[in-house]
Amino acid sequence: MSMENGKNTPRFLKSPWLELIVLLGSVILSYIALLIIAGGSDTPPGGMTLMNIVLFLFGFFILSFAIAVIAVMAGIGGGVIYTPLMLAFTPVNSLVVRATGLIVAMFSGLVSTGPFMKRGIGNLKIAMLCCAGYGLGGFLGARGAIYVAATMGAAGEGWVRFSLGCIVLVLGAYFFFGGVKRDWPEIKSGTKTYPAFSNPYYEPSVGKIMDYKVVRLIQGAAAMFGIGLVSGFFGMGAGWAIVPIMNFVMALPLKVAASLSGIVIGMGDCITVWPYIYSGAIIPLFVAPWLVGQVVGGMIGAQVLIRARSEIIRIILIGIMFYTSFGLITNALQKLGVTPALPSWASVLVLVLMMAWVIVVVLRKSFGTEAKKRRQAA
Amino acid sequence: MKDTNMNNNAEAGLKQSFAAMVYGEIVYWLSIVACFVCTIAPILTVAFPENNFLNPYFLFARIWEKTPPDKIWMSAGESHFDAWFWTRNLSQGDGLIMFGLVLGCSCACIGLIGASLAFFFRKGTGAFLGDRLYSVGGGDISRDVGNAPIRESEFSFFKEAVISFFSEDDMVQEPEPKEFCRRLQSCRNLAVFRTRVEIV
Repeated sequence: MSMENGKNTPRFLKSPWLELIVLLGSVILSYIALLIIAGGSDTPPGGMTLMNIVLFLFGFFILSFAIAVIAVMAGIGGGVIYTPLMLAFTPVNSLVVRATGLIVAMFSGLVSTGPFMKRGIGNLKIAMLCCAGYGLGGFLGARGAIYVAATMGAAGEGWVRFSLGCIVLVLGAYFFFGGVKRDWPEIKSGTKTYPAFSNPYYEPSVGKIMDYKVVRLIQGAAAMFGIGLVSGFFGMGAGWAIVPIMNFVMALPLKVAASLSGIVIGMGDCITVWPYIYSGAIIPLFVAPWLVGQVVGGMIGAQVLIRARSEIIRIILIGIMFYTSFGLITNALQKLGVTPALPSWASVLVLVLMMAWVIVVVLRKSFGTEAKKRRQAA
Repeated sequence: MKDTNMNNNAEAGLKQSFAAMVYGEIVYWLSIVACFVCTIAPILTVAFPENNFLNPYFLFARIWEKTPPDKIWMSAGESHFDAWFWTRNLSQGDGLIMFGLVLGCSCACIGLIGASLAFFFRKGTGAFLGDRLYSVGGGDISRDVGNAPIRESEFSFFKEAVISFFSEDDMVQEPEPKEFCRRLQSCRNLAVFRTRVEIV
């Protein structure tokens, strides 16, 4: 009886729509309530008005929501965008930004875990093994970040921004040129496989049950340690590194690797974030809107906008990453005393040049696609 | 031929790992609950600004002035930061937000405990250990509990409960009565053992 009822239930009363609607409704109602409460309040001398606090919270929520939606559409993790942007263009302490960045990356992974496991594409055994390496590396990376912040002061802040700027620059280039990925990696005969770790799944796009083999488990887990170290230190997601490692080293199919990266980040960052919690770098009122924006934006992006995944948005995001890396490196050089503060016209000039580059690339891609369609039609 | 009506392993007749599903469900719902708590708790912060661990009137100004986190917390009048401050301040806005954050940051751990319990009972290890431990306590499980078949009414009740819980997405197929009774029996054995330990 209950089965029949389940099939007749409207789509919007079923998971995940039901929780998405409840969350979205509670977000809208809570911000209306916040605005009403903040409207008629007194402010102590020297303090910020409650209305400004509410506007800050709302601004953070909207930014986080936008990052989550755009990240889903572009196929790039939210943490990779959040942490560099905040470190490059805001004066917030880097430890607070990195701790919040980990929460942003972690919750993106956590909300995607349930659907992946339900669909059967998530593999808990491999996730746990990879998490052992990733979690340990992430924990040490987080401890290192706290140590650097405590001992190196302004120079430490400068070096963190400089190295992150270089990483983001390389990542932008990697995303732009695409990198080589294999949907179904070939395994050479004689390579040791681990049948206990494989987990066949049904692939709706081809209507077949797909099985895969896993190789080089130990090497994969060891590489995860290094990735965790970087992720924990800089407080950002690491899907950009986990997917290629799983695809090339462990020979996992691309789709399985992409889903597992979210599961591993969600699981591993639950370990990584604790040193930050114990150091006090998680400021509750600052983190809350970023967390909520990631969860709601990520769910809407995954349910509504996944089909609208666009190459153009990806290029715009890559442009943002290049500009962010410029901001991070100049900010770092200034903090390290290498260069004086950059004049504002120089920043604007670089921004205009970057926008021009994005427009040219987008136009070339659009014309290329049009010409290809015309050729195919001919 | 491609069957577009099937979306997941269960529909395609594949046996899905129960422990993985338990992990996925626990993590998903706990992160949703954590998000919900973090959505509504700022209302408490703004409605009662004086009743917060960190004074919200000065918090954002400090964050924007590059203040290190330890100095932000010291402004609350504490000599050192206590990560568990929220346990004593759950009625305060930031205490409640911190509870939501800690819940979210612990959900993978809770999920893995759930997954290991699911694995434990699914594989029958639980049933075996339950029997062994019960016999250590001087009891005889087959005499005290017996291998009496599960009553029809009992079976129907549990079957209905499981199916109604999972029916939304057809995550599990209707269990075989024999397999289901075996699992139910192992749970019952463990419950009896636990009761016996409590009595002792």
